[in-house]
Amino acid sequence: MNPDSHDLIQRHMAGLLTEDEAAVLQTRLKADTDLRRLYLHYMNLDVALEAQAGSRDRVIDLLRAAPLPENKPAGRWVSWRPLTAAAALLIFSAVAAWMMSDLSRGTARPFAVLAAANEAVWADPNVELALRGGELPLGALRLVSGTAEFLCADGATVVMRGPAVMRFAERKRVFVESGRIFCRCPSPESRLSVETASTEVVDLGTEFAVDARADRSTLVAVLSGEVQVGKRQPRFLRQGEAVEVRGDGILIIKPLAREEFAELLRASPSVSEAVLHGENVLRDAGFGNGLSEATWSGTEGNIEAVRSGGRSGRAVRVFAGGYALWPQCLQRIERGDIAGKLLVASVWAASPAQDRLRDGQFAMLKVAFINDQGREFAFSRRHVLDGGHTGGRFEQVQLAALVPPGTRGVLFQLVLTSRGFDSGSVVFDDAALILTDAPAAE
Amino acid sequence: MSPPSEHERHAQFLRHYAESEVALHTFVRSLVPTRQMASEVMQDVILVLWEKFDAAADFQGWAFGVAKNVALRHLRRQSRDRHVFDDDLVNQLADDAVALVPVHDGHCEALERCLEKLPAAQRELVLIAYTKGTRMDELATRRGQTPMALYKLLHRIRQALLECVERTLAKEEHA
Repeated sequence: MNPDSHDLIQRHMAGLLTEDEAAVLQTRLKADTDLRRLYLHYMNLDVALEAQAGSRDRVIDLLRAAPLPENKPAGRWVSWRPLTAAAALLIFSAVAAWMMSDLSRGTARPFAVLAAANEAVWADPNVELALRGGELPLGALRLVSGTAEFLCADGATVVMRGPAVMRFAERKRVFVESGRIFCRCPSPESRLSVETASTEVVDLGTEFAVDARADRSTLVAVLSGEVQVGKRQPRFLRQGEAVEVRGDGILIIKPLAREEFAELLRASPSVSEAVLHGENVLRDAGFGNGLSEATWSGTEGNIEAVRSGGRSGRAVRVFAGGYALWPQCLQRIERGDIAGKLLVASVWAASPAQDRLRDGQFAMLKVAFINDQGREFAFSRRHVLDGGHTGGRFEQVQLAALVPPGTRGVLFQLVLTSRGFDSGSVVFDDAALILTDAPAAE
Repeated sequence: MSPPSEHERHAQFLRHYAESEVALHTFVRSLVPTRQMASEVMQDVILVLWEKFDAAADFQGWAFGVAKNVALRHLRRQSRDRHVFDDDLVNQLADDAVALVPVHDGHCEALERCLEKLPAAQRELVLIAYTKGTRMDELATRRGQTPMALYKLLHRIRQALLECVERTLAKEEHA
């Protein structure tokens, strides 16, 4: 094989092939079966690497933003159009197949299906294969490391954080042998009970975490809502409360430490609505007064205040306009030492029907943390909208973070990834930035 | 026999598509100059496939035909005809891509193991390079390299990965 064939193929992969080189490559490919196989191997590598990188990114998005498939039989995949990464598709397919399995195969569907995984390593590769295929293996699920998120048949979400061992014992019952899981039960019919060696937790409409420890003790912590712990002499826990159940069944009520709350947030697929009751520290959060240095400013020439088109009238529009980087609207908040606070940021965004986002474009909510020298030293961000988004429909994006040490201010940024296109814009409205203490026991 | 319900049709489609998606994407990628364009083509391909899906037909042969037509249409629209291979080669590639479906399924699994064997810095680099939205010129600037130096480094990493994948599969075959 001609040694520069690798180079020609790779130049093609990089989009660098000239017309003459394309002709040479074509002549060689037509004449040489082995070269054609090599060429297709390279193309497959390109696609697989994209999936590896894309799936990571996407699964993280799923875990962070939790836009998980609702229990609806059809239509969801269209809104996931940009998801062409193979791994993401596999997970999506598993979810979709699961949703329809009782209809299409005439068989009962499993109690739960793997909806997302982040760096998940399973003790048994066969378990992973089954989970990726939309099945729920009998027996224990042993997650060595990473996280795995399950969508239950009745709408609950269960997130395992490795190392952990659990099994879905029945439709609404989970048994945790060891490790930590996080549950979110958004509706009465989705409620779960979680058993460990020492106790049982019955959900009463909430988000909660259960940590089954090696000494047979169990920690139960409630992020929002209420749970019942124990069978014979049950105790009721509310938001911010935690209980330790010793191996002998004795209950010890303990406050939920900030570190533990932070740890729970890492496992939580979304931030509880409850933390949104704090003060919104943004100035002119509804964009009613237009752009000014005192409130909202940004990339000159790529942002404008609009009188209509927002959720209730005025809003701000960020548009691509051929700008190659990240046009944005931003507000700087300086609040002194806010390290250790819980920060929750949110905004509503829509791509207007007359100037919809193009494929590859998306919007982003970003919060940058500023140190005492006025420099950004850390950030948290989350994507919203993309080229497959239905024009005109507002979606809310929300992120939460514990403010890192050394923070003196934050930059609240509403960003459009324009990719240099002339068209494509996003309307942002009703922004919020809440700084609050982590909930503590009453 | 009664025709399949919409749910059955949807389920059958997803099953077929999941089996062929990597091969279809590989084939489309072989016809167009950039990953971005391949992704755009695939989004149109999946829509056409779903709209016209016939559960009784040979999915794979039909899907590759659709993918070919959509890709060529895309290239024409983007005025990129100069990079289109001629019909003979496109058909040869389609035949080869179908024949390689089982091989490429194995490639994806072997690739994960090979990525793990790469030095961490190279693994991070290649995954960043393949992350949606990464621009090679910006990445090169961030790394203090020229775009050509970055291109050559990625070239070596990809070649090493491909060789590793083939070695891994050969070992498994002889095990």
